[in-house]
Amino acid sequence: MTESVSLPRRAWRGFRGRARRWTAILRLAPAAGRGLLLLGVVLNLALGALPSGFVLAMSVLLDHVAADPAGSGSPWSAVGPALAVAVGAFLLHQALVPFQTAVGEIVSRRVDGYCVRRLMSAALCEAPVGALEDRAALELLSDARTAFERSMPTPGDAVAGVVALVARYTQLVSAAVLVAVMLSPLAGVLIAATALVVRFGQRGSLGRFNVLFTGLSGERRAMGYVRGLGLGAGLAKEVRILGLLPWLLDRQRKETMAYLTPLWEGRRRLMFWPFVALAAVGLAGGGTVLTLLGDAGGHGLSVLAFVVALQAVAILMRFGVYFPESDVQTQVGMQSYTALRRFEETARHAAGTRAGSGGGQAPVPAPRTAISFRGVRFRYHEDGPEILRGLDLDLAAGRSTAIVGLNGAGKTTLLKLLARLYDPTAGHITVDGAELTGIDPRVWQRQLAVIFQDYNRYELTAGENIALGASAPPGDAVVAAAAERAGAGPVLAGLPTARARCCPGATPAGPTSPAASGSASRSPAPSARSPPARRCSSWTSPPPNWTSAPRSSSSTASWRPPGG
Amino acid sequence: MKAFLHAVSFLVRLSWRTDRARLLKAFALVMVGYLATPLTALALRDFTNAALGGETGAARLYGLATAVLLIFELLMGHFAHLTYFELGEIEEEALHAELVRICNGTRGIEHFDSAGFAETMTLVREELGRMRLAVEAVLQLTGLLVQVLITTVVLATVDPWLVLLPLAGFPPVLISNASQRLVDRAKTASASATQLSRHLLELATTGSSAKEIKLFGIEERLIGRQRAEWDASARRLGRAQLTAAAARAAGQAVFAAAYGGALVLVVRRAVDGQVNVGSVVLVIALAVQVSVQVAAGLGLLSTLQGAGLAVERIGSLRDRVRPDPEPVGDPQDAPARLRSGIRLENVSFGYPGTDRLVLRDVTVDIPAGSSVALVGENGAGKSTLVKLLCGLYEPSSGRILVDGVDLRSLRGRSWQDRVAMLFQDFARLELLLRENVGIGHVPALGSDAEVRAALAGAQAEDLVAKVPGGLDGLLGRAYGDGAELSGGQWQKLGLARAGMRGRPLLLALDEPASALDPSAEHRLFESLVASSDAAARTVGAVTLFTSHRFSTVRIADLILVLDGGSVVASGSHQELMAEQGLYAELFGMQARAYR
Repeated sequence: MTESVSLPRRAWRGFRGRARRWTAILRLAPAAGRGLLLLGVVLNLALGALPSGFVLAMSVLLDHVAADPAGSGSPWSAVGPALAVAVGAFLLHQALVPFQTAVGEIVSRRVDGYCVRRLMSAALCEAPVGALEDRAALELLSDARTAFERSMPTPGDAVAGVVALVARYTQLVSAAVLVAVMLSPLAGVLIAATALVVRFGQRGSLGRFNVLFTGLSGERRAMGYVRGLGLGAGLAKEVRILGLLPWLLDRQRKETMAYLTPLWEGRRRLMFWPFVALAAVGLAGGGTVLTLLGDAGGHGLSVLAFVVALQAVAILMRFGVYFPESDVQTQVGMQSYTALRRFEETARHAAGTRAGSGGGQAPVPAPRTAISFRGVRFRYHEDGPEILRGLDLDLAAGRSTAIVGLNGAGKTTLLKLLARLYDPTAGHITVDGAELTGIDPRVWQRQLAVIFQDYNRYELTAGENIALGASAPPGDAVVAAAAERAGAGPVLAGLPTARARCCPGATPAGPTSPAASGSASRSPAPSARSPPARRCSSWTSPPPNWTSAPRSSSSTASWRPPGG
Repeated sequence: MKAFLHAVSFLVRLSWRTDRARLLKAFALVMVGYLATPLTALALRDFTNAALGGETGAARLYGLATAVLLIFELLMGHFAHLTYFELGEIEEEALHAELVRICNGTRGIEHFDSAGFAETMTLVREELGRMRLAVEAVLQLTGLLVQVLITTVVLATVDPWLVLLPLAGFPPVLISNASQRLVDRAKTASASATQLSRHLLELATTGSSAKEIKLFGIEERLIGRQRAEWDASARRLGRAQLTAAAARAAGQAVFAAAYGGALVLVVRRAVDGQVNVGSVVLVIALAVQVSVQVAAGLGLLSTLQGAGLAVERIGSLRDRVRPDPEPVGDPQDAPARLRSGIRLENVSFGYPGTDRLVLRDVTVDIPAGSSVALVGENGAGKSTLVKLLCGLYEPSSGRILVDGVDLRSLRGRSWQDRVAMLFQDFARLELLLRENVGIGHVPALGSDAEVRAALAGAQAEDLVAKVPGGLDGLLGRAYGDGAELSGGQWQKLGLARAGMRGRPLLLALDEPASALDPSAEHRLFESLVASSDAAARTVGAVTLFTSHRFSTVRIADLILVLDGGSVVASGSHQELMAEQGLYAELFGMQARAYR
């Protein structure tokens, strides 16, 4: 917080920031579907206007009652309809309130669904792999993702919050109009202004608090990680055998307090004294208007006008400082969306600076001579070590080549360059003499079959896991054949149902089965593709299926590309 | 109703336990705020009568009093907020700790294999953040109840029949109860879809998994799948919420009708001249307030009902975890040193909830001080056997004896304290280097000398230099921005961790060198052999390892060959080669492959 920046300038910046946030929410709102959004707005308009309708009807009624003291004829002909309208308005209001929440939840889910899809798209389709390993990008992704794990308000909650605000502000406007008409325009403006000052004053504090909150994201990430340690299966064995529970609980508490202590100090600083000041403003404005009203009442203001104005002033003075259905949501919910947009920008920037994704969409013919590396150099980060230093290598077509070396020698990196997940920082990779950078990476990748050491385990059915390897969704027969080829038949047979989902640990052989028998889930993946131009795999451990020689020789045989 | 009461009692007890002072402060602030509301109605009545009656002085006084009461009502609410935000945050921490204790407070790990457990845990974690609102709800509901009481008394002074008014608030409550259950059932039904959605999102937004997805070109398919799951669960929830809203609306209409009746009553009295305008204003003011309160109260109620169901879920999680069995026979401690050895007697094991036996009737004698290698195909039961010996699972039948004493009669953690282990899926703790290794023996975490010694034993001293910050350097990117390590480096840390424990009776290593290249593995096993020899001599320790590399396996004193859950052959390398059985055949195959 720079002291040198003047107050008006800061206020302007604050205002601009707020305006940007609200416009972002409004622009995101159509993701809920225009029909639903319209329904929500109309519902909220009704909810906001009905109380004022009630006030008016009751005041008309009281006017008649006061004008007709007891005994002089039946005032029911005038009072009756007014009463009916008042009760009707009340009834309608009560009946509509539950729908406000329900519609809000539906809107929220729709918007969140849109945001999640957009996040996945950004991460998978737009961002090159390098962007996903950049520390700043990772933090953006984490922030964008956390909200959807429902620990924080989501962008959907923010949109639902804005829709709910329609009811609140409709109520404010209608009550202010009533005061202005019945008492005096000045009073109407004064009381509305008081209500708004108090409301926005508090809202501004919430905004400043939010800056503090954002600044603690590192501490939150740390806290989230340590909390997750105790709840997943990852540390379970160690906790039991090494007796880690006390240490873990203590660590968790330390992390939480490291986060909460600055949070509380800031919250108290920003939300205590400023609020006392706002209360003084409220007292001044409200007191003045009520005094005006009291004086006017004694000087010939009609009962109708008096009662309307009084009730309206009460509504306005109760306009409230904290709206639980929208304040936190609109303040914080968009953080996830902001993180998403910043990530998209980063991804676009990174994708733009990548070397040539030129070339047509036509599949590249299988290499006839060789894939060659000439003077290839590579490092992951500018300030990181150089992994490959002037590598010259020829991978002859039609032959299987094994690459061996100590850990850290660059074997996996070589594979990543071959798969065009990264481009060399210097040197050339050529396919039959043509530059690899001249081929569209996606076209190239579609013709590869790759298994990495840390391959993905999808929490889908076993069949779906295998089927993901194919370039187009394959039939059951293809999946079964691929499973057989890789020796995964027994694993599939052993699962509880044919379509059993591979939850980490739901397989009958226990949680390490995917690991130990992971070889089986590895191998089928490339087999489901046909026909690839090049097959490569990364094993730094010995062939997993050493016990059954006939099977392993058949899978080795399938590594040779058809036709040499 | 039961769930709601359960939630209230749970939250109050939790708050009392975690932070008494804040709870009382928040309670006081809430009560003052809620009491101001009926007083405001009274002030409005007197203001109306005074103003319309021309008593300017009194009118000004009452006007000011009204303003003060209104502001007061607002002020107390805000400060109460600040207080119970803090209370809620502390409670969230307490609840997390409780969950950790549920997950990790017992010896067994079967509950982690259960999909039902994982799904319930997902729901509970999702709702933990909302427990803060639940605390707030309890306090506000209390204030609300007091307020309704006072309101009723004030209304009774206008017309005794009005006392019945709050009763009209009950039908909506009962209907709200039922509606909440409806919504919650829908939430439970879509839990697995939510989990899958989250899983896919995580895969897509983590560098290591995303690269494989991009490579296979299956981005669109996964995104489409995620969309399908999300939309299905959203539709289900949306339908449930609309149905619940319709039911609630009907309930509130009942209430509104009752209030309509109250207004009719009071207006009739006013028409008959029995009450003045001020009293009608009073009733309207209170009616408006109560309608707002009932609406808020229902919201709070549904929050609490949701919280109640979450509390029930936490209870169900606790129920799913098998409690530690009572020690069988006289409870003993594990021996200081092994003399005869470990014996598995007719041990069979199947994972809970499955029919298949992973281990069948295994009977083996492992002499003290020996090294044992387990060999077998993937899925033959090697890892399961290791886990049984470590006490992570209980045999479905049969028993495991240590120096003739059943493992089940060993007290508390006495066996686990004497076990050192490294599993294939060992935990990569993305915290400080010191912590990663030091948790092997927590009392020694702070001791540089011991941690360095353990690292040396695992041939990993170079890591201290490589990681910025040395022993206090951060690893991985999950907690903060630390150093990235390769698979082999992580494995070495795991081995160092196993080496922290001095004088273990059992050293269990499940594929300890799978991520190391042959020369590193060779060096490692040389060092392991040296230290396990020392341990064997001093405490009779048993070293147990599984490996796929016969070059490693052959050095063991005893080799157990597992196939389909049974031990089909056992003996030393020479004995098994002489038998010319399965072992000899497989050894020959692998040896040929390397030629």
